Amino acid sequence: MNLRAASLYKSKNALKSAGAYFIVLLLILLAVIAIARINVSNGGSSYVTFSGYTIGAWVMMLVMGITAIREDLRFFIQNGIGRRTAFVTQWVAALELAVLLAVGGQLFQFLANAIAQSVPNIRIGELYSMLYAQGAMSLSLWQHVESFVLYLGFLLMAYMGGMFFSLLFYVLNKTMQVVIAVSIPFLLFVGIPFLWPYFSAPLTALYQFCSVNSWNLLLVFLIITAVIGAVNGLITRRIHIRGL
Amino acid sequence: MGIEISKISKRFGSTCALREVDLELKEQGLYGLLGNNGAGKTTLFNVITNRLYPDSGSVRVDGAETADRDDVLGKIYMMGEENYYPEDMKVRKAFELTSLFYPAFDKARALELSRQFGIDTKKKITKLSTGYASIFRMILALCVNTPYLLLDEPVLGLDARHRDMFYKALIEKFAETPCTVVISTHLIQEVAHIIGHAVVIRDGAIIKDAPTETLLEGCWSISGPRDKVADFVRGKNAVEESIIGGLSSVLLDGLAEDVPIPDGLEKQKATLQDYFIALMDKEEQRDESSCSQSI
Repeated sequence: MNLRAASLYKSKNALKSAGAYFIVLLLILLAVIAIARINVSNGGSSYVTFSGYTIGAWVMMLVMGITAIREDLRFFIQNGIGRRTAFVTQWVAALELAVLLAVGGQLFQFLANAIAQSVPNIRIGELYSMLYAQGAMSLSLWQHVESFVLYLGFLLMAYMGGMFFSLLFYVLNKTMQVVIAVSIPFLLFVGIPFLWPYFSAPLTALYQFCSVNSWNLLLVFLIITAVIGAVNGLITRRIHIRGL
Repeated sequence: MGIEISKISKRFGSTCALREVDLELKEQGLYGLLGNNGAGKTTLFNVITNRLYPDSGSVRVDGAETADRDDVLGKIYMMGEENYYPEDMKVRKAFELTSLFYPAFDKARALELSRQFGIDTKKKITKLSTGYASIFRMILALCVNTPYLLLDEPVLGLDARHRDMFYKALIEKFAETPCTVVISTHLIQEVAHIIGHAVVIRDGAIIKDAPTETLLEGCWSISGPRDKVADFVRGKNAVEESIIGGLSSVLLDGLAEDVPIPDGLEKQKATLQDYFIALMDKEEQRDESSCSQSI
């Protein structure tokens, strides 16, 4: 397994993506601060809220999962790297990116806390603090650890989910692609409300389970990630790699 | 050692792209994979490089199965017609990354060839014209220094000068670092002087697999006035005949070199292209006759 070369290639891409994300986030944060300051200087008393880091990171992981796998399978096979290594490399890259973004999440929380000291009418939140710390801007060390691992699970799930849809649409023929594309919104807007009476009890139980603490939610994320990851592995194993 | 292809079959829906293909590509040989459009050449290359899985059969490189093994796949480099590089990747970046995957990649030579062929290394691969995209892939193939090189339509979109430069660079590369080169092309005449071994594929099956010298041994083209040619070839193995006005040209197989030729007739050694066309016509006629018999 030529994992070293493949991982080096992917690592550079992961670093670049994370870097680009941090720059964009920083610019947004600066804009939020500017808005809050203008608000204060104009005598306004309303709060400016920003909680886009987590969802932004999640969307980025999802998009990376969607776009990376096909491109990597093609590039790797052209360079003598098989499907198995390509798949393992996706996990390595996803973990790497998730760690970077999770660390970024903690730094973001620190930064948010520091900003809140000087700009009082600003509220900056992220996943863990909103769900398990009542929106606190300042977290304890243990809370940061919990937040970090929660991020990891949340972001890995997004990457594997994106990868799943990418692979699914790669292996399906045109007709099935249309069927799946139509089925997803149908399931969301018609299927789920229709089936809600049957699923409301287990979903409520799941919600209560996740509400207890962040480790429970992490467990759910990890189970979903493992299941989707396994399906991705099975699809990748026999996939036909076509060029552009 | 070499590449051993055993009983490879591959179907795409109702189309049988490869039918129990058995082929051996020995080390350090120059092979030509010849066939009409849709004969199965690219599919065979894709199966060898593990881009496609065959329905049955196996491919072994130096005795090891290729199936998803990086150490084995790393010994083969395929230059295909399609792009396998990321859409935003630039030529120079591709050279840098190739060094990462193929430590023997000669980057200095790649840059030198880029200069010779006039390719802009700062350009994105997907922005290259058809000809320059072929040149880009060809440069990678010539510099990657793997033991096995599969070139699928390497001169696609190239002008005559660039084609000539490519063949020279290929011969130079082969002389310096010998390896197994398999060239799949429609331009048979152009590669005839390069390849030492021809593999002819038709409808997914290998119908000829022999050194070019052996294939063309006893193959002569007899041309002249139609009646005279007809008299001469009577009772001999005439593979193909073409008539233009009162003149005809017949491709004979199995004719000894020292057989005297009547006055007014011309005898020429058959080219690989002549042989290929004659073989394809013969196969088609055979298909038609077997089809009409079955009807």
